[in-house]
Amino acid sequence: MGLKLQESIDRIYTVIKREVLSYFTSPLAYIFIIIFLLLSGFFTFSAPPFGNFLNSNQASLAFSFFPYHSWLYLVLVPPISMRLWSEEQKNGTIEILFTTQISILEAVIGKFISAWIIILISLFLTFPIIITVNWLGTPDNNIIISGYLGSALLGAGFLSIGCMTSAMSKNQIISYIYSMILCLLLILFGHQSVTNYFTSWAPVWFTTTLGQLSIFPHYKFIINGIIDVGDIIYFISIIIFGLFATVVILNTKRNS
Amino acid sequence: MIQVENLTKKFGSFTAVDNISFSIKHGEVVGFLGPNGAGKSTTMRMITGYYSPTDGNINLGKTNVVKNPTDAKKHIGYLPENSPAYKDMIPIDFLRFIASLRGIKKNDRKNAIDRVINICSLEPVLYQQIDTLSKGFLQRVCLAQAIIHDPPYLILDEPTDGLDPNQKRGIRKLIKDMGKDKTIMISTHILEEINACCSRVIVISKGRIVADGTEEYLKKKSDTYKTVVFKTNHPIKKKVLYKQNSKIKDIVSTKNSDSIQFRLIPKNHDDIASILFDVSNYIRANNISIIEFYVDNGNLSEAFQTITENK
Repeated sequence: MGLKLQESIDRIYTVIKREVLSYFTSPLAYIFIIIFLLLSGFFTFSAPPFGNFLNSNQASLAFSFFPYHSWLYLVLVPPISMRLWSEEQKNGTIEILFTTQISILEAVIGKFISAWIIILISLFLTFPIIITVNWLGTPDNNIIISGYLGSALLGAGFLSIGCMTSAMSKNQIISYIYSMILCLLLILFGHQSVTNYFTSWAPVWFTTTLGQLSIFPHYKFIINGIIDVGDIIYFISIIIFGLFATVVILNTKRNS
Repeated sequence: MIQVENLTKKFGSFTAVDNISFSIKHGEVVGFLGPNGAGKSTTMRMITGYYSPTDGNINLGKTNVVKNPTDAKKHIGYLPENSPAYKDMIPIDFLRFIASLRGIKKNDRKNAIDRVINICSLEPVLYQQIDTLSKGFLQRVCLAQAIIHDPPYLILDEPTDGLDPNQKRGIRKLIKDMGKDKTIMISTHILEEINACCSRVIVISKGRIVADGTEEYLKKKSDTYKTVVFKTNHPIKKKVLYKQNSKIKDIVSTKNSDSIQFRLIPKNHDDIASILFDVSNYIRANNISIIEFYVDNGNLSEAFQTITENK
């Protein structure tokens, strides 16, 4: 059992290595990181309605920095996830991959982690903001850590949905559009304009459930330093759902 | 030994492979022949464990591919159609990647990779991006990944498709050499491949096996098998030729501008010697000048046509 697990981890690691290398041999990873940093800087420092960090007089990142990550990921995650399985199916390399000993689950996990690494690198490179906020004031760094955790989970959630849509189609553009729509729905479900629309006629439980399906209520708590098990479970459920659906889709498509 | 029993694969209501059975012995190189869309690739994908069959069984030695695909995959090398490979990689990294997925231990990896680089002559392109490789090298890179774990079973889907004649010869020689101690199945729709490297042929058409035997066996199915052919510029009447030997079933004559070709079809393949004897005697006795005179042993292309179109 131990040996099998070790072999499994070795194979996942092999896939991660290849995929990360592949992100960095194309301009994709660099573009993602640069745009992520530029846009997060823009949102944080620009005047209202954006973050307005310097004039807000708050030693915190919960209002001016993290909230914008959901929109950033909405635009930036699909481009890095869309190639994961679409390309593999289009080029036929999936046949080589799945006639080696690797299982679909191992490959799915490996690819997911590799793309997540790109997001984590981008997040890591936002460290100057932590220095800045600590230099200008005395923020609660635990809340900042919690914010980073939330952002990393949010990125992973969107990414797992991107994996799923990438498995759906050989065409990267189609997979991009699908994942963007699904992630947008996850954002919008909790948006006031949408919930308000439903409260006027739909039953309360429906509106509440819909709102809970959205990332907003969960993400908001985490970036404000309130780590609730339920919110963590929410994000982990999205990740597991996305990855599990990817496995199911790949397995079904392989045989039809 | 590869043993395939009552294998069926359906995609929705379409039956791609329809209840086929065959076996391939150790040391055999078997050609899997058939028109495009006959079910060659589907069958191969099932043998390699990529597809699971709708029905039937596949055994590789003692390992059952259907019940235990992960185990079976350890023993199979597979070159998929069109030689796919990660275009953004360089061959050496690609081979390292596959070696590691194949579970080759770190210490043995270098040797395994060196071995296939050597067999497939990949030295000149090891550090060139796969995207920029010529089709011949791409094919060899892909073949290298298929044999990196030195598998006893090799499944090659159209290994020479799209190559120039020299490259084809190279790949065929490789296959033939490897065939000495492996069990190999290659699919093709190129007939010359058969006599270049296969000891046996399985012909598949519309998902069913329509012939299984040696090249000679296939040729027997062609209309020209064991027929006497001669070309002359001397006018001879068919009637006269019929009189020479009663075992001639039919005579086909083809007129050219300055000559005429006769094809004498025997009633039985065994009658060819006596027909040959009598006709050559007649020609000699009458001093007929001959441009060409031979026994036609049939050809695969015609046999292929007869087999795949008539059935």
